[in-house]
Amino acid sequence: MAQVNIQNIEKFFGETEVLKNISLSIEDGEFLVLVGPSGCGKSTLLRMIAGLEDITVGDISIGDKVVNNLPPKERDISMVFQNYALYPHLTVAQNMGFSLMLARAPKAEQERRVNEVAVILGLTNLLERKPKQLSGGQRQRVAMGRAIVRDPKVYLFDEPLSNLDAKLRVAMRAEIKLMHQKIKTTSVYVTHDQVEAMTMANRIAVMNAGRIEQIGKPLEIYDNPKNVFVAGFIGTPSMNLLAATVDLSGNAPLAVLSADLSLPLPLDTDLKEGQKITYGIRPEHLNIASNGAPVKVNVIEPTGSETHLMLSFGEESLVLVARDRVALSPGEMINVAPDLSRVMIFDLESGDRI
Amino acid sequence: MNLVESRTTTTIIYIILAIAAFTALFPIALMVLNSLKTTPEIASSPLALPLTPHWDNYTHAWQGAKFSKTFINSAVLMSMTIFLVLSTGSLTAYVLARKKIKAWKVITAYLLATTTAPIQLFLFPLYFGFAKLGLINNVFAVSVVYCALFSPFSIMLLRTYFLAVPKELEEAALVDGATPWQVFSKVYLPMVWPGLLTVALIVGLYTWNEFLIATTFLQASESRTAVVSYFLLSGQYSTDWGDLMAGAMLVTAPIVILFIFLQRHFIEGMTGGSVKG
Amino acid sequence: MHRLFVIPTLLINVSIILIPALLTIVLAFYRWDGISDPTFIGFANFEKLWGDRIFWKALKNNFIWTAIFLVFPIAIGLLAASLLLIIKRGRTLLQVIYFLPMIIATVITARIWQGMIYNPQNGIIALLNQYGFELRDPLSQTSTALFGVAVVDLWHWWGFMAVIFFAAMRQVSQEQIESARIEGANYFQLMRWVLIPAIKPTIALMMIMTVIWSFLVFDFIYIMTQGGPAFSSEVLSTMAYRKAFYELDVGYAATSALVISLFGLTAAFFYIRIQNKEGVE
Repeated sequence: MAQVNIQNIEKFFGETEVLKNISLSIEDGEFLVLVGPSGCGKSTLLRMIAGLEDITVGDISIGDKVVNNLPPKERDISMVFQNYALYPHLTVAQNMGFSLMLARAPKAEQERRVNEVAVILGLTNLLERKPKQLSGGQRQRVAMGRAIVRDPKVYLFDEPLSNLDAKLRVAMRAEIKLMHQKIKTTSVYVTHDQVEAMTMANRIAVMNAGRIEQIGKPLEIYDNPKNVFVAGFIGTPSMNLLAATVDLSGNAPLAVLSADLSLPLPLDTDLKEGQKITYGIRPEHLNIASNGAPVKVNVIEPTGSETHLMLSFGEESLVLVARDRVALSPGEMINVAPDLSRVMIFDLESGDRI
Repeated sequence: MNLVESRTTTTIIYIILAIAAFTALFPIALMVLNSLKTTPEIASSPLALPLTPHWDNYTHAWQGAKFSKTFINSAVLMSMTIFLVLSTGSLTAYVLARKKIKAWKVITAYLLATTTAPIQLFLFPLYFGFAKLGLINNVFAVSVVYCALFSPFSIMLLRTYFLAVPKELEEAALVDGATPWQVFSKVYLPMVWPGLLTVALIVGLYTWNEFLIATTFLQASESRTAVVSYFLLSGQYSTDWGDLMAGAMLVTAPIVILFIFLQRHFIEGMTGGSVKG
Repeated sequence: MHRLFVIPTLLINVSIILIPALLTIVLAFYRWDGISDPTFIGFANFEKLWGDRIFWKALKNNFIWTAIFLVFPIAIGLLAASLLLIIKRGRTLLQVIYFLPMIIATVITARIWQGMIYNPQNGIIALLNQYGFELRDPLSQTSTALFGVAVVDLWHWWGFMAVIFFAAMRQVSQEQIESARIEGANYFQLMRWVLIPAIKPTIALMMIMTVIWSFLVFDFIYIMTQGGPAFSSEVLSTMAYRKAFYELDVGYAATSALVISLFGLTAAFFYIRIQNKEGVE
């Protein structure tokens, strides 16, 4: 067990800067998820922790040791890859015991460890099979098993569930979480799927364009996104983000979205007349209310448990999630109002939360 | 293609392809047929079937070309060359495929350049140098020459097999604690064996058939290869064509049999890298 | 660590090919019989080559050879490959048959043709002459010797081209071919507008290789005619070989070898460019 410290990391591929001054410390026993759109640098950061990419500037330490110049095998880590990276010429047992075999551990010890882990993962019956004879979920389990057998200080996961079908992904998600609760080894998990991030993480680091936008507990990030990017990235359907101008001339402050549509602003905001803002409201915090703003219903998507309404006013569009079933038809006009306590205001230019 | 073609079109196509096949097989058939005939029989008609098969043509050829000795020479030369090419070539192919060193581009270009160099460009100094070092008639020295000749194309071919191995396997092995040597020997080598087999077959074929280097560097009768001793036999008394065809059969048969069983490896290997997508 | 991996290959390659090749360049400026000390003679070997009738004859033969092999094997190969693409059954068998001559040793192929086909006493030529033809062994005539050898090399070679082109054509998308057929393209239109453009890179590579190989051609000519009769089938490589090992004029042989390499080098330049382009991707 160990903590991982990342200090002022920068990474260049030739001329392009893929990581810009990243600092991050991962506590001992923590499950940290790096999430962000593809190309944001999350995988590169993970691979730098693993020692598969070199560090252009900065320091990475695992435990108390700076590992910048250590090869992967001396970092005491293990990694689960997106495509599992199982050796096709070796059996499941040999795949799982590969690191012990390389370390020339005694045969009996190798067998004991592999069997132990196989029991945990329910792989006992498959030990003599080759990867080709396994299903996707089983391969995923073997890849995990290989990581566990090594009993490392830190687990690294590189989008390990993205090749599984939706149902299996949900099951494996829970399984990984359960296992982490049991063995409590520091883990760094990379994904582009914000649902995975929300459900699995102790803490999430949201990355974008080579920077960490925000670090925090899942619900903290959901409830208090620091900027427009995090607000839009976390949550499905994603937050409604609308360009607006502040109007303080009336009784209550308003955000003017267009000539014929305004939405109320919280009373206690510190905004100036005419200020340009981005008005953010999550679809589930938008309600149908007779005294609300008039919008047109375009598409109705019943998901069973809730109903998604695609709404529009002028050129702009809005999404509303209703818990109850609604009796509406496309083309109808309805009135909507936000839950004022949940409205988030961002600066239009910088994107930062106000 | 599964389009419906008219009957006549199909027939014409098959006739053309059959003529081509006949052309390819005809001289080979002449070799088979006449290896069992006496010279007067051949002279009366090379196309006629033998009255009685003259199997003793084969014993004559076997003794005449000293095949009991020269076949072994060829086999030894072949094994040594295959071993050298595979052991040195697979290492280089791995490094070039995975761009492990900065000079990979230069090395690739150099190796490609040597495949296009005429043998005469280096043959003369090499011969007189070997002569000075007493390496003429040395089978091992010749296998090193073959290794230099056949390595570049073998490396280019093996390179494609190494490229087909997912990079993540190497990374997983590194994380699992493998040294660079273990990554190569425990992860890559077991996965590229079809490539190694293909290269072994082709290098074996080329070595078995090679003439210019063999005739220049292996002149003594006890170190000659089968092909060279057949060449000398056919030069000596080029009148007994029955014996000569029997000898030709003996030299060719092992390769043709191997080819028929493993034709896909041969064809893929020899045409590999030539098809540009 | 990985630098060590390439050392065996480079060591062997440099000592067998590069160093002797550089020595050949040096030798071209010396008179040497292979035994006694070499004498520096400047450009004398080059001047001798310039005035050597046989050199010009050999060079001309190399060009003729290149022309023959740029046309026939590629044309036959394209035809056979495209027909293989149309048929449904027997592709593998036919490919194996076409490829067979390629795997037979040059010496064997040469002797089969010399004894069984060209031989005026007991070959196919003798048989045809019994039916009233008046054919002679092409290898014994100065006017036909080179072509006689070329036919044998062609026999051994065209199948290789057919198999390569077939492999390339199979990579052309089925949809392209099928839609062309549905739109009413006949065989020649299909070749002209779909297949040949699609495999152009392969054809270009094969043409470059043909030029390189044509300047290297040695085995068939050395085995079947030794460049004769009367140097009529001499090419640069057989000439260089004879100068070195029969006339022990190693310096002069080196000079000829350099000239061969110059022609090969031009083609090789394009070859490496094509190959490396692929390697970089």
